[in-house]
Amino acid sequence: MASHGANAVRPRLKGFSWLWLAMAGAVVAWPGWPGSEPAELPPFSPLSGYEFARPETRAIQDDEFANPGLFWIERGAELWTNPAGPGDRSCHSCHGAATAMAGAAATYPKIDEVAGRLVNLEQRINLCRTRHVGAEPYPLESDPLLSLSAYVTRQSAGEPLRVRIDGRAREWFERGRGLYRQRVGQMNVACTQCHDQRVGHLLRAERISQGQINGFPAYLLRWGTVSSAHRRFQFCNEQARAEPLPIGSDDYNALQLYVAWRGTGLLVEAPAVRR
Amino acid sequence: MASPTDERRLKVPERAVQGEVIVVKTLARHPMEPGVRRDPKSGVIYPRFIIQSVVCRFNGAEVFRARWYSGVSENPFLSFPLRMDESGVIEVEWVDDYLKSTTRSAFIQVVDEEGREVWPVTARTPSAPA
Repeated sequence: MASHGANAVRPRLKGFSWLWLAMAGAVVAWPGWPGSEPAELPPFSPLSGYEFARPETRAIQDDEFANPGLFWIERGAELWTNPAGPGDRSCHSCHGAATAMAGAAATYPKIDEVAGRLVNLEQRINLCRTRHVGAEPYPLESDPLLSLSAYVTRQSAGEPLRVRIDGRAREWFERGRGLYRQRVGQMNVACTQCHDQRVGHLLRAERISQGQINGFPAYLLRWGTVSSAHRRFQFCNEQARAEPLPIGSDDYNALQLYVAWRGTGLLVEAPAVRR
Repeated sequence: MASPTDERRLKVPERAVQGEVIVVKTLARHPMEPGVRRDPKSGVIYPRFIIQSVVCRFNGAEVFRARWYSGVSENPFLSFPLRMDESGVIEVEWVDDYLKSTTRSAFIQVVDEEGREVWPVTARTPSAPA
């Protein structure tokens, strides 16, 4: 694990002055209330969750030794060449070295042409397993699936997020856009109310981030495990006292597409550490 | 493939100057189940499963020991300073609730200020015949 990924090259601003600058920029750039801005531009310049994390959390992410996400990546590297199924095939049999996956993770969620629906990286890995390896798919959010997903994402570390929202992805994008603005739960809040309108404010002891997912699958300190963006969405839903949707559901995929598009240009961080 | 709860990491510098204080860093992948949580559906308590102690030995002699209880986080990171007086093998041992032990070790070369290696042997004059 010699490469230092995105974190070593990204310029970093100290303190919170950058945040107010960014927000001031957002106010100037923002043409009106949510819904009135043009759909092709995110509401303001995207900032990674890293910029909102506390220094201690950042230190864990920056230290290649202390970052526990590396355990998952090492496991993923083992699984990459681990043969399975009737033909004793592994990811390596088709794809070769994992470096061939460079940049791939930055384009998910993506339309799967065969299934004709939107899939995220975890589901893509499972589709590969069932179609080409002939093995049982991993349960969603299981340790091996997240390990592989983190390992594949690691190959894209430092690449800018670039999901496609044209063609068949368009309707999914619009669906995700709607979900992002839909009020849910007893708290009756929508994603946009925190992650667009109250960015940088405190929510109890937490600094509200833009809700970017360029670090996912990320190691979450609160759970002590690597988790997918969908599990993080569930947690957000629970905070809004809403019934979380199942992991891997179409709605979450649509939401993930929209949120990934909001972060277009953000560099993939793998493994990221978040609270 | 090793079990995920067996994954351990140890990091020390390869070389140190005599008298230098190095930092030993360790990381374990472990659930550290505290033994007070219940399964939300069945109500059954998850049994306690933690790393009880971490022992560090240098050339076989114990130089550091930590006893852990159920408040320690999962995937625990531990680092401590250690003064290097001679070359040798550092060994860190993690012992869990089932007394299952995992170890990681590394060699540290210690040199004096003139760059000569300090061997872990003590020169003794032969004792006079009785």
